[in-house]
Amino acid sequence: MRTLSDEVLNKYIDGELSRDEMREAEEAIKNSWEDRVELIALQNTDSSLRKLTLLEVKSNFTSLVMNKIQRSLRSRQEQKKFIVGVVSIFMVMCLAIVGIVGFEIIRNSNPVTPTILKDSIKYVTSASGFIAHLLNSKNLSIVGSAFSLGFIISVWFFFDYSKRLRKAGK
Amino acid sequence: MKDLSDPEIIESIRNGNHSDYSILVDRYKKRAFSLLNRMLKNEMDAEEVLQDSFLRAFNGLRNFKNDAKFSTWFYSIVYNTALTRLSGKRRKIENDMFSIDDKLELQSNYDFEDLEKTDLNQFINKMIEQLPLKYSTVINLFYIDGMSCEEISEVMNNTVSNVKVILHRSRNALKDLLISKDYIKEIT
Repeated sequence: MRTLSDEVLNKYIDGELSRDEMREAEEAIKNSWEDRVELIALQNTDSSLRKLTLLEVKSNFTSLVMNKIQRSLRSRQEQKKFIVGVVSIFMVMCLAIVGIVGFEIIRNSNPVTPTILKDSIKYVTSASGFIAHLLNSKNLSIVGSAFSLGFIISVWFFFDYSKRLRKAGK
Repeated sequence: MKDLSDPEIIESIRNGNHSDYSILVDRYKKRAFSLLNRMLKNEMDAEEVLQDSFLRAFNGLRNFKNDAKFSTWFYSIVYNTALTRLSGKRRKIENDMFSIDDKLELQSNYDFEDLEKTDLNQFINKMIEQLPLKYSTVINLFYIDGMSCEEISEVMNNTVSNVKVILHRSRNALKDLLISKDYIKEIT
């Protein structure tokens, strides 16, 4: 008659029983033929499972993975370059605007005025005047449209470019 | 280079030696492929998912914490990528819905009489294929990948006690089948 449950036998072969439980299990195995048979069967199943062999992958599998990784690294670098390019264009545009503003300030300033304070006030006044001129109702729409168009074109190029890179990565 | 440990290789990759990743690929490809093949039951899918998993692992190396074990972390990527593939294909993974409380009986449609009785390995492989997804995964990770129940629970995002229950049930089911087919007699 069986005295040990499947769970105890499984724990027995996995070495998960406490010392006392182990002693009890060994005693039961010694006295019960059914328990002994069950244990041997479980041990044999366990040893058969340990002999399972690994499946083979394609011989060029590693190089395939490494190529994929290289492509992904390259596309990531190119993506970075593209972003830097777009940001640079915007930076150049901003610098050009600042340069024009600066130029206007210098041109409108009076170089012979002795006090720095006077100069500063004048610069600020003329700068704000220029910006106001640039952003008046007539020019504002032109400036805004130019910026929006530039932005939309950049975003479109960016998504298109990312899509192509993703495809190339696959 | 091949003797380097996983953390050493990861450190080298982080330092810019990307080609060292091939050592990790070589180290884990067969074992992960065996697992995927059992999960997806299709060699092509298994290979594709394995490639994706290696790529994901490479991209995630920056976020990998050194105190964790690479194998456990990598296998959780493999396991989750395989599950995503299975759900993406909308396969009927009724096996996966198998409750832990259900009785596991391996009375499959497979004609076991067709197998040569001498090829025990082949027979067991076929039997594992018949197991529900979680059960075959646990058997694979425990016996082929040599993982502990704690590591398997991390990979499968399950509790250790559940993993043990699954392992014991799978083993018992396989044992009963081996007895019924007289395999045990032969090997004893």
